Amino acid sequence: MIELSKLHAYVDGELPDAERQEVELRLAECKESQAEVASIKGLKSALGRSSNMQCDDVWANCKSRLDAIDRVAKSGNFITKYSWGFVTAVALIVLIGGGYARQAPVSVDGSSLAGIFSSSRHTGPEKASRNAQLDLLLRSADRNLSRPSYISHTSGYINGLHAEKYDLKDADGSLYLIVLPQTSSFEGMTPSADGQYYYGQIEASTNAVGWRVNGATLILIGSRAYSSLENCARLHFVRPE
Amino acid sequence: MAFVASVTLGKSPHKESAGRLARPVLFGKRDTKRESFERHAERAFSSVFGTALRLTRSREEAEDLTQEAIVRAYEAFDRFDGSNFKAWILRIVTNLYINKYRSRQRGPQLTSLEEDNVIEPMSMESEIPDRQLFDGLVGTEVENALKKLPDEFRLAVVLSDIEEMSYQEIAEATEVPIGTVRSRIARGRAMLRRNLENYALKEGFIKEGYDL
Repeated sequence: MIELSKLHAYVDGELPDAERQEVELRLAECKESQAEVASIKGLKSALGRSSNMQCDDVWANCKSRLDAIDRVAKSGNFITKYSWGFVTAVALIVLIGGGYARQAPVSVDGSSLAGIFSSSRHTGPEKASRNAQLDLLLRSADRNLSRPSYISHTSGYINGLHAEKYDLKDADGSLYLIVLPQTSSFEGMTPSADGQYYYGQIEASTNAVGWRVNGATLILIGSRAYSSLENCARLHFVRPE
Repeated sequence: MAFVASVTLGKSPHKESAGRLARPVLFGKRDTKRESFERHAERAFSSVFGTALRLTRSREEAEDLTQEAIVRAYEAFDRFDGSNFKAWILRIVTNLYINKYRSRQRGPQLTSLEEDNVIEPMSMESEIPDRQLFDGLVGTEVENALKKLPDEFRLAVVLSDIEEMSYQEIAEATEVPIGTVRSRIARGRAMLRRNLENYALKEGFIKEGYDL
């Protein structure tokens, strides 16, 4: 009988001419090989009849993601072009309390946000407990995905407001998750297509994506593109209310 | 202060670097990156999602994998060489699956011992004739039998026999030598044939000892 992997390659049209001719000559004299070829063709035909999946809704979701990328790229270009020397001084504004009407706005500028990185210190429970807290913020359905892993945790203040910072790491490198235990509104940040996520620049190569969920405000910060941060937020963390 | 305040600074948005005013394009609109990408992606989309579903075996994960692949492909579209979009994007799907999703998946896993095994013939030692087995099959039965294949074999068979990719394209997508692709396809099909036969007997649409 002809070598089996060669017969499969023959049916797939993957043999060079010389080998193909050799197989054809031998096939004419070998009933077992003929039966094998017929069997391979039958299976390929059955697989070829496998139906296409219904996926219109998935395509629509993908297009929304592309819209978000286009919009961020547009606003990113705009900021880059017309605000040099400005974005480094004024990075991110978060209004605590859900709007102007109910509470006076508390502004968080680049330096105060950076303050949590320098002045924060390790506090409270140990790693296992912090991991459990982080679990609450990660999508439970995504346990099988390679979600960001916990590195360390610190507590600090942004303009007098308590904030938690989680140092995380994923396949693309380090990133930080800031958790403000209040529902907040974002100003000066560009909303996503569905209005659920907000983009802002911390400094030249560091971006932030913020969103509100379960009475808290989450801000993901990293030296990567908005689309990458938003992907991470949408894929791995609890989604906006 | 907020970002919005900053837009009052800087140059006029309609000036080109040479200082000449750029005219808005009213007619003969150019094919933008987005339009070109969408045109390619829409044509290949059922293959992208179908492959994601057959790899992850979970609709929710397949949706996530598909979205991530589409976003990555869009971001890298400038590097697409223009030859075979479907093979290019399926390579992205496969790489993402191998690097991010598969490690956490449960299900049949390949061992090096399994891969070294001798390829079995499909047609011999079977009590059920091929014609009887394959003609009676519907899509669901094939999909169920596919799910039981270990990852590497399922991947090779899906890319070859459903997505009609060449051995070379599969080798590039899965980052293994072409000889390994050839062996995985042959072994995967033999396993699939056996799974289908067991399934057919269990479900009773073929009886054991069937004689032509």
